[in-house]
Amino acid sequence: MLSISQSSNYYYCLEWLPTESGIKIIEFKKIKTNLNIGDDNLIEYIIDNFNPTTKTESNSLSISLDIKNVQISCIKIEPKIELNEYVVWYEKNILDAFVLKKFDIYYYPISNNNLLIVYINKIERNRLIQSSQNSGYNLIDLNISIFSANIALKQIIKVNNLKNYMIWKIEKNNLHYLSYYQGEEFLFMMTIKHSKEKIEILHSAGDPQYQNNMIAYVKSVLINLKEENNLFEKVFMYQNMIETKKIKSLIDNNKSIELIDISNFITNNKEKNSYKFLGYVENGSSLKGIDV
Amino acid sequence: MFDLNLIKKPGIQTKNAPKENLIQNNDKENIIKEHVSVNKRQYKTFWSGLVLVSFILFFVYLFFLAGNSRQLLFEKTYIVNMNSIFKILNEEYSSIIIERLDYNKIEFKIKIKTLNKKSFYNIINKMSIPFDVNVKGAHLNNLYIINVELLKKNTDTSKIKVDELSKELSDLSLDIKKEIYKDKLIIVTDKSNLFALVNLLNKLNLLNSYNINIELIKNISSNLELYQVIID
Repeated sequence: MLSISQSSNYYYCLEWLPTESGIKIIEFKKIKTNLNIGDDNLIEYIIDNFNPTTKTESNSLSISLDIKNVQISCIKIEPKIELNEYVVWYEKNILDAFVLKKFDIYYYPISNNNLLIVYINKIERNRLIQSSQNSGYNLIDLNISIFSANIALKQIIKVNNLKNYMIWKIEKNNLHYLSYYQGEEFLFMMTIKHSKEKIEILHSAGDPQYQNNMIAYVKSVLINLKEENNLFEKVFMYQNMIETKKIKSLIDNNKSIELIDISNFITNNKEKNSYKFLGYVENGSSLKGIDV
Repeated sequence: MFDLNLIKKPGIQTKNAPKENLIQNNDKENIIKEHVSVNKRQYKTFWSGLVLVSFILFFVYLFFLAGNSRQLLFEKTYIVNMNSIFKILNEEYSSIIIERLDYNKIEFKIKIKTLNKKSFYNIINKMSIPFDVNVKGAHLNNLYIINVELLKKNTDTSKIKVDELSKELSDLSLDIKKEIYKDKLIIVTDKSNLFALVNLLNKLNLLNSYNINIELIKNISSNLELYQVIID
């Protein structure tokens, strides 16, 4: 299995094979390219550069896209109306013909009668599939960064008994991606920008009743520098950036925050650096349904 | 947690939706012997379903073929409003020649010629709104040609018989020559009266009711622009 996850700087490639004793990591490498997912030959370029060795054993490919390459929104639905009918009505009366023509749209019913909607550009989606095929690979999973990180959490860190938790991704330019789960259920996600004394919500989707508590928690950590946590059993943090000063400080100073440390999964090297492999957290979607 | 996978078919993604088989041929580790018997049953169901669906599709195909609407099964159809067409043409009246127009239950075709570049682009722009890529243009030397060919939606509206229509036209002061031949009203007219005739049919709410064929009559005189109109 080859897994590629896209971040703002790199494409993180991870090649693994299932064995009797679990997953065996064959190779990993981060690749820098100016190509983006709208380009015809992106996957061919990455695969040529990565040069995977297990293609004959498995030509399955999993890709996790940077969240900036999709649009995510959420609407409240009326439970008395059949979901199919509701979606037909929504597409006819709310979405513009342009949106329907340009995007493939996925609807995910989530808790409390909310419907999460994910839009991906049709051309870009098809190019990813085509480019994968041109490389002799079969794209079997196309996921989104923060959701892929949740799979890593479930499959590698084995977070299965928590009542609730938040995944916190630190991104460059003071951006933070937060997603909140209760047990197995996704509930809410938010993109915020942190400036000196201010938290600005740039985007949110899901059940909005959790927004205020999440903001209150983030303010306590980032602005008041004194964690006040009444909501989350755990907060799992990761990033794709090389600079680790900020994330180390947040983890060291806040009791609830835990690093998504997958270094044991990636390498057997005894001199481990827990922060070195954070970029591969979003390759987690390739492990969907696998006994790790 | 929902199973987010943008490779799946777009639309509503419920937990109860059947899982798509994404196992690869080359994924040797994923092939589990215990599943072979299940797979055989699945193949049987698949083939039975395929045969059944093929039969249904075959009969649907025959049904539409018998209805002489085979093309409509496979190609997009458009609502064609003749009044809107002639409004566009009327705006470029002085600079265009309608070489051919064919409006019937199934299709709409028109070929327009002009020497005027602005008229050419005006018509293309305006016709592209209802008919999008079915409007095609060509530029040969100084001549600009616009061609539209498309399948239309059948919008049957009430109409009067052609002989009654002929009488109606006789009562009005149109300078046209007309006669009825085999239930078809054949009219010869110049361009000015062609547009007047169209305007009149529109006022009578009959413009979209008949099959209308308009052809430029060639080889008479280069100064005389005459049209043959057949209405049935």
